Amino acid sequence: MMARLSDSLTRAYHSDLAYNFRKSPVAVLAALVALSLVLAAVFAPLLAPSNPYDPASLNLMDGFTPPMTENAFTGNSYLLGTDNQGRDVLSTILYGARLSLFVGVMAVLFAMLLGIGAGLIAGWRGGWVDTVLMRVADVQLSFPSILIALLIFGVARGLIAPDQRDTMAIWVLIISIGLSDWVQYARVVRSATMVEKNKEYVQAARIIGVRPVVILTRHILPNVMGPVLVIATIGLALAIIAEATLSFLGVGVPPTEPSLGTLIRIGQQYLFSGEWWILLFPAIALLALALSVNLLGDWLRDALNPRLR
Amino acid sequence: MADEMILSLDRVTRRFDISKPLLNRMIEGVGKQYLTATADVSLSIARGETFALVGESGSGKSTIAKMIMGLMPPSVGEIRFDGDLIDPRHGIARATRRRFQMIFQDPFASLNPRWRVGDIIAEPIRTFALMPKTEVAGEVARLLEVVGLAPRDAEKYPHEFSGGQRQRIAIARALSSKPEFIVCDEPTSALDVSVQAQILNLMRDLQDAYGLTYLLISHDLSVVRHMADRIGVLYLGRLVEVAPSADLFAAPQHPYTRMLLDAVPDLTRVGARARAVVGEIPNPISPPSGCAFHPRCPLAQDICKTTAPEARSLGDRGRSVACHMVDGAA
Repeated sequence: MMARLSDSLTRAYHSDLAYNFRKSPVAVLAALVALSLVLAAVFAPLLAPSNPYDPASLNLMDGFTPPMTENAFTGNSYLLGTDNQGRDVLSTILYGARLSLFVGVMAVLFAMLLGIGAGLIAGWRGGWVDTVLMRVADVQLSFPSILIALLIFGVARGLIAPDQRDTMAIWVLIISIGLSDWVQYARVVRSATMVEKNKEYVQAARIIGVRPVVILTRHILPNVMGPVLVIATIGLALAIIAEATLSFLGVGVPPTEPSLGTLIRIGQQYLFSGEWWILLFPAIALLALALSVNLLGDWLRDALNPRLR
Repeated sequence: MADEMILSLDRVTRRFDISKPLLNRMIEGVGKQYLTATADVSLSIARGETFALVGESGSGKSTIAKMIMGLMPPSVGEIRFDGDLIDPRHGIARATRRRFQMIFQDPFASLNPRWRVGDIIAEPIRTFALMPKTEVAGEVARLLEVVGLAPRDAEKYPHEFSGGQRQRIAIARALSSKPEFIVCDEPTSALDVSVQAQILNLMRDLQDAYGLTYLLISHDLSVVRHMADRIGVLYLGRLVEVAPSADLFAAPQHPYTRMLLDAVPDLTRVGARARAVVGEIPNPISPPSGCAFHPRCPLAQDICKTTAPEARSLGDRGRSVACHMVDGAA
């Protein structure tokens, strides 16, 4: 088992993709930025100077402290300043990025699950199943995805009891973003499945009576995952932005557990009164996260496209 | 023929619905359209022999292979493998499925590029649960050696092999379920000429070693001559002549068979121009009336345009020809 693992690692290091990666400074830089942001977000509880979710540790007197300046009342100083409630902006960014990433990753996984499932079935069965699934996808694609997310969010708010809204908000967000993004995966997987299912290796499996579920998951799925991973990477950046947009619009995660989008929404209220740091630093964090993931996705798409080599 | 028949096709016809969608048909006022890929094909293959199906592209060879493998049902007629009906609409017993296998034309498409060679060869063994899991790796190694590859090749991926080596892997996979009958769909047409003979000789050796029955599908008459015991000639989905290999090459009866054989370059007639096959295979959506071959046939008479000829026996060596112009005395 270990031999196989190290064998695959050597193989991966010497692969075209790894070579292409080492030769692309943009990709290496984007990967470094994305990786450090992800690590910072994951280990936020260890890295952050304070816990912004803990009301007991907050002092309202600390509010609106500019970056690296002593507070006039308490004498405390913060690297990136504090927001209106006296929360350390650096800590809220770390915790906020953690939340944004979690929502983004879960939404992408949910969209992938839906899209790959629908695409495999539509491509394999063809006929009316294919027609129905793809018409649903067409209709969905004619709505802006943020509208769909808003719609789902509104419906979910009506269904969930008021005292549970804040705890369920994240999951509603994930499902909203996921439901508005599955179409891309479905389309790509469907067309790839239609190509693969006629190949002779699939016929060979059908001849010996391998069940369609097994053929789809063990034979066809591994062969259609390449383009799916590209979309997923770019989709992750889009999902993070969608989460920020929804939170900015006030339908996302509650202000007590802010994501990057919520922080930007809080910050923009104070921009014109001179407290610029509350908006600027979360915005830079969001930009860096989305941009680096997006650049990685772009690089991956080009690297996997044989015509662009 | 007194030999035991392992496979029999009884008046097998396969039509494909190639109509436009319902809405288009209603708007344009056109009816349903069908393409007849094989029409009324009857043949039997004896245990242990190599039966070859030859014909131009579009003559229905691959459709017959797919129906025999249970990948699609015949529209009319029935296919029996050792007495068991082969029809995917009724389901095919696992015990029956194990006994037939297929070798494909394109060794670059017939092996899953994401699977290790060992897993590819083991798939039939695992699917039919032929042996305990602990013995599978040993069996794969043995099969690799049987087809002339090294046991350590099981760890590699298909892209690390050449076309000929891949075809050996495909043969090992076909052998792994210990089948009695193998359909070989143009097994060498994607390979270099230098490799073709190796693969054909391997197939012959395996036939002797395991008592296999082959249905060889090919358009390459030299391959067929090298391999086949009996030959069936397909034209536009119709079986026009069936004859033992030696008889067919020595004295082709059906005018289409003669045309095919005349087109093969021949060393005994150096300097003479090979006669090219005249005309093209007609459109199978609207086949000619009567005998499907009559528009290209040098012997065609009025009866050929109106009446489709039935297959008639010739001589006592299991030969049959479907042609009005060939008399039984030949």
